[in-house]
Amino acid sequence: MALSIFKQTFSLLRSSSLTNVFCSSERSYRLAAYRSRRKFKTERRPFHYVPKGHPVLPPDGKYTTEPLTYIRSGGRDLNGKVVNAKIGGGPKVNWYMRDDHYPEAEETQGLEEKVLRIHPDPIRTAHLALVGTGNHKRYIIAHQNMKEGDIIKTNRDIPTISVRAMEGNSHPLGALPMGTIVHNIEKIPGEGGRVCRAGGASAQVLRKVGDKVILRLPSKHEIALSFNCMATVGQVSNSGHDDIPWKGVGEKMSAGYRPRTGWHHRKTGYHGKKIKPKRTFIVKPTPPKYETYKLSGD
Amino acid sequence: LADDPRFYVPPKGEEKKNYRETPAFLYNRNCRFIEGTKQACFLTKSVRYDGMPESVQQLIDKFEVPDESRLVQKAILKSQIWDSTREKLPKRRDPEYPRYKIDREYGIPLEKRLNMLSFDLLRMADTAIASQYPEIGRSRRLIFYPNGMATFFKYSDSLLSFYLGIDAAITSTSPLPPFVPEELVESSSSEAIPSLYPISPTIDFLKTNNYNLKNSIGFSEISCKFPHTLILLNNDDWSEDERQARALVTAMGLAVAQVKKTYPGIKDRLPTPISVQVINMSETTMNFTYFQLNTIDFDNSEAGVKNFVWFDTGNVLFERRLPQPWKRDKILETSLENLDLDPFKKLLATVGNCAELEDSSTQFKEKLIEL
Repeated sequence: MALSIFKQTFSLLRSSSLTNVFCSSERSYRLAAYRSRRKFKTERRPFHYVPKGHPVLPPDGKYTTEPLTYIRSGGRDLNGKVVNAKIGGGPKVNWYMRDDHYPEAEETQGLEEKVLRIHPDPIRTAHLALVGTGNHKRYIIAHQNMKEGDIIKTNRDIPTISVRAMEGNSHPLGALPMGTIVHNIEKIPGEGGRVCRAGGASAQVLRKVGDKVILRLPSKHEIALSFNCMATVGQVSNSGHDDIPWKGVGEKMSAGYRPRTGWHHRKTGYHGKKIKPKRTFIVKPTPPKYETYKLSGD
Repeated sequence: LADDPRFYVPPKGEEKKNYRETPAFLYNRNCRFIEGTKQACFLTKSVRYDGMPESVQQLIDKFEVPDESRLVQKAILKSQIWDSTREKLPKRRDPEYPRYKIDREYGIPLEKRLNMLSFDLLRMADTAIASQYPEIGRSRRLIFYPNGMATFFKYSDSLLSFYLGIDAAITSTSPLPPFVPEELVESSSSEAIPSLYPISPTIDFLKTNNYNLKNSIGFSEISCKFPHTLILLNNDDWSEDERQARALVTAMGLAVAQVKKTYPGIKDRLPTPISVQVINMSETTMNFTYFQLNTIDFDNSEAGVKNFVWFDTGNVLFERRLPQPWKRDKILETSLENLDLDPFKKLLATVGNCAELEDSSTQFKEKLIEL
């Protein structure tokens, strides 16, 4: 009797198909979710993976442009023990809610937005841009040549002739010509941008085959996506953040990385393992390996 | 279970007090305009001029304070150094060397410094004006931290409500005359205001369903019911543009509140324009705005008569250099440099505006009473 009451009350808090348990606190719920995910292996991550931190989201769940607090993990797991000893320390930073979803736009006219402010993000490699229309403001990823006062458009039309791609505008992939450079790409239409969001990243549109568009990602891997997925034209800002080397251990420690021993060496082909080239992407469906027979009812 | 704080669910908008179905946009003293004065000018449908109006510029050298530099220096040193309060000041990071950890300092907090300096200067201005026109003591009133200024009106299918925060106000028995004659007011209908196309001026207002609408001036309606100047003290680290925008909107709010009481049914042009002055004071700089209200029709930004605004920004009284201890024996303490007395003279001119009129009008009224 008491168990059923627990189930009714606490299962209403979160509704997910993976965890069908009753828990006494949010911490134990997260532990159970973590363990259940590891059981079904839906996420391929090493055992010592721990995120660097998490933000404190508002209880409304609505979008705000105000800065939020960011709690660092320190390499600690849900159990409280050190799982990754190379994370720890770092300055207190503000976490800004960045909107990677594409807004709804009218037909043939689109939505126009104005760039108000650009400033670097304390926790991400790409810069942030404040953008507003009407009575709504939001933060988005800033592309390479962005300036204050620019006007940005989003259009959800797919005409027969491809659109002239201007930097900063966002179109579905079916409307862009071949060879355009693109970032903040959606994998599933309506889900929000997921690919190429880091500083300096960009993907290129190669060719169109049937109902799909083929892109080349920054890892030189090719992927086929549907026509209706949205993307913005241009390269992400802050492209040279990799080229600046660290000055020493002190600078790394003040940024949140703990030291490691200098005992590791990168493996080359000399050690017996071959370094192979990447696999090409195959578009045509392969024939089945076994013979098939049709049974007719004659 | 209902009292367990782990499962606390905050109340929705419908359960909080003052719930209305139609949403409204609220303005506060903390509303920071993202486009600055351009956004404020578009909201208030006003044409912008830089500098002081002519009627005020003629009064700059009229009022004199004996031993001016000595008294101003005394007021500055009293607020910065000689006061005996000792509190923990907020932490400080210098943008030149952000990783250096500066020791915690003890001293006078910002609010007290601002209040002491500004009210000392106001007192000196009052004595200087009263020496020439002694009847001002009966026709004017100085109110500290007035309360309850609010207005509301409709702006293109949305309700706006303003709650204004003011630190000090000078009110008088007779209203301020307009800064500009009527011919220029009629010719202003041909001038254009720069537009902010994808943005609306209410982008920084708070949109809620819980609000109260109120229309009140804030000070008494029996004597001294016309506003003369408003004084705002800038405790924030805003830019000068944003501070001037705040001053504009407070002036507009007060003027609209007065119009709604004297002419209740008006929608378009006023028979006589209303003018308000605002002084913006921070620790080192002073800004002046002069606003003249001609219409209440804020919806049409192109057609009709427009309002006028004069902005005078960036008047620096003195510079305050903070310590930078990594520079070793050069800059270890705060130093005050470069005194300039021009902003103080502008203050005298704004506070002494329309002093002759009040002096003569009070003399006239007293003679009537004697008869």
